[in-house]
Amino acid sequence: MPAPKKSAVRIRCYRQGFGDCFLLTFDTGKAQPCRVLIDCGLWPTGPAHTATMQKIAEDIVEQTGGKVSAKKKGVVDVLVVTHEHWDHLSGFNQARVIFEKLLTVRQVWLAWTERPKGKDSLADTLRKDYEKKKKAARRLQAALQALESSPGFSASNARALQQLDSLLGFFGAVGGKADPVGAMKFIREEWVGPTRSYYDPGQLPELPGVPGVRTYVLGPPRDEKKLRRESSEKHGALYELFFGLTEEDSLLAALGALDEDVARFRDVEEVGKPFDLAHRHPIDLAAAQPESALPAGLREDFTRRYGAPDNAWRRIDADWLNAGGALALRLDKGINNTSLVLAFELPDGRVLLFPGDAQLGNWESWHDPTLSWKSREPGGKDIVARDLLARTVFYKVGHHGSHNATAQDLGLELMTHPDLMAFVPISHQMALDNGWDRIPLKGLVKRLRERAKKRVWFATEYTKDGKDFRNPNIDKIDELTTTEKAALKKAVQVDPLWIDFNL
Amino acid sequence: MFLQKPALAGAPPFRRLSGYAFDPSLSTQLETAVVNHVVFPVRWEALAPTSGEAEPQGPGPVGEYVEVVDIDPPSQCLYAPVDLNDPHLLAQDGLAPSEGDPRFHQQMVYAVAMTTIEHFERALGRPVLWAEREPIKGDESVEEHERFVRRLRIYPHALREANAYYSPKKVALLFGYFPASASDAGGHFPGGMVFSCLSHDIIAHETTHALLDSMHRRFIEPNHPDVRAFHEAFADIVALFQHFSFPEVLRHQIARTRGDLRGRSLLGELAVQFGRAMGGHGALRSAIGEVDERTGKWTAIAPDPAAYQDTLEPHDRGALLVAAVFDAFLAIYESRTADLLRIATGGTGQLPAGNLHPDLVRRLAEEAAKAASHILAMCIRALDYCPPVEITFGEYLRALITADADLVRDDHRGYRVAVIEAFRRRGLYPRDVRTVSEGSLRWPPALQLSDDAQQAVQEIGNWLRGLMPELRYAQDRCELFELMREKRIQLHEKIRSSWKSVPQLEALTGLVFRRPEKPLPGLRYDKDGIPRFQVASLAAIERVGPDGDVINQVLLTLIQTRDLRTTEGERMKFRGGCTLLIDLDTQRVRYAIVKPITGPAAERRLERQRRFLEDGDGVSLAAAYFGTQADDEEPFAMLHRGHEH
Repeated sequence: MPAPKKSAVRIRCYRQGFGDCFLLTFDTGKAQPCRVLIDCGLWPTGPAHTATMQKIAEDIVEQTGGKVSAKKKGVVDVLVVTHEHWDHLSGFNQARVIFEKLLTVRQVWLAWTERPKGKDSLADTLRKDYEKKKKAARRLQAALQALESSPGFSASNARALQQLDSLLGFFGAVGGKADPVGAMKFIREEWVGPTRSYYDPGQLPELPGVPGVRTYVLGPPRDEKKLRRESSEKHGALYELFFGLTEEDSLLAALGALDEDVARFRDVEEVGKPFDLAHRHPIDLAAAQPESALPAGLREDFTRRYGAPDNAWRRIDADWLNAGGALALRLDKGINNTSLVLAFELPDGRVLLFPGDAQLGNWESWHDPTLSWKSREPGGKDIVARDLLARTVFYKVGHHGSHNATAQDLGLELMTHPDLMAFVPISHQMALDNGWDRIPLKGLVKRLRERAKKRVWFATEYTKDGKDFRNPNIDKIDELTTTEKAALKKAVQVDPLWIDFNL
Repeated sequence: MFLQKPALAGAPPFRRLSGYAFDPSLSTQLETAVVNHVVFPVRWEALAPTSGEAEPQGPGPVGEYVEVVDIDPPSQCLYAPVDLNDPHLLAQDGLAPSEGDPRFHQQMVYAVAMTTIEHFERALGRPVLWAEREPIKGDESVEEHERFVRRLRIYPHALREANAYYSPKKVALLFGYFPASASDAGGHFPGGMVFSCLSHDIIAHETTHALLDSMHRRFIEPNHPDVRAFHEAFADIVALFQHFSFPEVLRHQIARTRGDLRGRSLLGELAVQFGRAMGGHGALRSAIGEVDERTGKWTAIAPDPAAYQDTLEPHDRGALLVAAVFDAFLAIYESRTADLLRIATGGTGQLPAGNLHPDLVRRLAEEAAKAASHILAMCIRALDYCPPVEITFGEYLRALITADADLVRDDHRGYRVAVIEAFRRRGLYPRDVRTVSEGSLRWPPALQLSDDAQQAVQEIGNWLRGLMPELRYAQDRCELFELMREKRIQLHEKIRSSWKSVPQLEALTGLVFRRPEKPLPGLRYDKDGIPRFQVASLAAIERVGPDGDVINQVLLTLIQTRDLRTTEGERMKFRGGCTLLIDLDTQRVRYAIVKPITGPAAERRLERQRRFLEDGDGVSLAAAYFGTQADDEEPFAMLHRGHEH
């Protein structure tokens, strides 16, 4: 394909590290291009990172027609926020002042899962479920932290706590600097100016000024599995409160933190307890002599079989708290799956794919037989996800390159366009700092490089311990012809703060 | 059966204990309620202290093999232990099934765990010894003599979540309870409490994890996608085939399915209540079919050889092995009952519409029970013929075939053919055999030894012969454990001192007993510069087959370890190992089942293992963040928790 004279779009990928921020500038043929900002976040917090995000915010202002020194506002036509995780949102917190004062945002696009309360019952149900899980996870985290210095704190407790600590960071630590909920609130409610729209898969929202560019909404799915909560929707909220005790409720009850609306209908003492009072013999495992309140026969039995120092290695006092690790993982996956997934189709048919942090379930749903879009030409064949993947030339790698956020057979293997390029929004060092040594996953990077003829870029490079996450040396890509190399060199501009892809 | 103190005159063979054949949910449905309440005939034991016992039996129940401790930390309370010797309970098969009485829960876990243990002892012909207590790193206070763990601990109410697991560190089973999801009101009411410790399948599954771990400690190390999957599959297989030991259930289900066990029946499903309570349409797992998420319809799964290549999540991958074994069982059942059906139908084999004759149902049920118990015993016995490290499905197939062929020379019922066919159809066979047939799948006889090597083996054989009476007449499991421990140490010394001078023994075992000429990275050496190795197990195998064939062998396994790093610089252990089956009559090595520690095959395996450790299981988010070795301490906790639901 001959390189177009003027590129149809410039994709600026910011290089803050473990986090997403992309500025897309579409050519409208007129003086004023169409600007789309997708996410603005960075995983770690701290003054240096705040400064980075502010620098990026200022660059966004400058790149969208504003001037920071003259207090002239830039203009973003569409701000896309994929999902409520800190590494996609932090900038709206850390650089909120810059955005508020120096940027006009006309429209905000969000996933259907972000619809305001009362507008979408499935969104409400999901949100409530996540809130409860989040609360339970936080309580478990606190309970484990309280145990940390006691002798009963086991290696598996430590493991669960580590999982909670690292994963709850996506939602912001309690009392810490990260506050994705606040950042999301800013975007959904507080930022004065933009209109907000919420999208379901199958829709085709319009980018202003670029009728030749089509935007496809692929996800998040309105998941049937989650829709199976219909019984509670059918019967209304009261029914749910009456019957709908969940695993999290029973955990929260054990931690003395039952939700008020759940408590309203119940005897708080009894929630989560598996047996009647008559069977229960209270003990306080944290007390010096937990057995003191027991009747004589039981006391002796408890002391001999459970309490004796000889048997300490088999105690299970705190094992139940480890449920928190799995809970945090489920929660993380759930929120990742609410990612708004967009595919931008350029006038010549090439596609840019931005899946947020969509996990496998979200990817699989794109291939649902009911999901298709009308062709541009009247009477043309309907377009399905497979077509879009086959024409993808720019892939924003999902979830910073973790394995389960890039589907193999239903994703990467279908990206067959000869010009495919990919960008991984990752700093492996930042992932390592958090104990995640598989983000990005080596195997995935390898396959990406094969598919994209080595044209894979990283926000931050990393080479150590047999890992090679380096950006390509275009001259050394044997798969490309001399002309292609020259074109690619022109198309890709690299700066310490960003990498531009001109397509 | 084994090592019991001389029984009182007239002690009954069994203690009859009521329980659920499946789980409480089936008692709330009219159709299944009648058969769901069963009585477990549990091998009799005193459950009361006898004089001079250091670790007395008693209420709990506390028996010889298991001990129920009913403490509920999230509820900050404990529940009084059941005394199964109460005359009222003795006279009426224990407590009647009840979800609301913790003492029945204690009885249920005890009954099912003991039933599972009994199946193992019967198949293996030797007493079960739990995995030993591991010394704590840096804490020398765990003395040698404290390694013996007499009883598997069972905590029926340990967790508040939809989970249950075996803890190798604590040698304990932990069961959880949780409110059922609001979505599917079938079998329970939404928000009603679901107890994993009331599910026969879950108890049997977890107990089997503990039993398997007691025989093969290294099978919990995830160094090949098959290893964890094997643990899960094996636990499911045992739970499934135990369904067939309840005659009422069997007859009921055979009548309902008109003898066709290939359709959906309770017999082929696992953890029905658990699966539904977590919001699913049906059982947690099903041996041969699946329920469509949208329509709720059950369909049989066609065998797909490609699934073995790309199914990596341990439960899903394990399901392939479960399906293969269950399929083999169905083929055997069908061939065993073909004549009955012909007799019943005047030779056509075509059953008329309507209900089956009760006599036919009873006869079909008998055949199903017999075939199921044979298959279960075959599966358990095969464990003695597995390599001690990195088990793969293909090797397990070889173990199954070899173990059975050794014991039952004449396969006129076609069991082995059925097994081979079912595995082959799912692509589960070793890649290094030329044909998939009985002859080539049997482990090859150990290589012909030269005189000096045979001499060394014979020395050990002689010594082992002398050992047999001691083992046979040990009075107590603790004594047996200590004896075995001592003998393993002696055997280690014998091998260490004499095998280093016989090069052929290295070829036989795939291990190294002297410092290799070319240095072998990561190999551990003792202070004398001799490569370290471990005698992981030692057991006598004495069995009599149905045709009177006698097996008189000693099983010993050796394991060697190299400390290496992955290409990403993480520590990894690469193990080689060898299972030696020595015939005590001829004093020859009958089989040497080898995973070499050195040589080209070992290097290839190492390469594979490195790749696997780096890429993870490719499925779970936990692996994406934290890797496959996520939790060394509680390997089953997260696996059972994190399973997608």
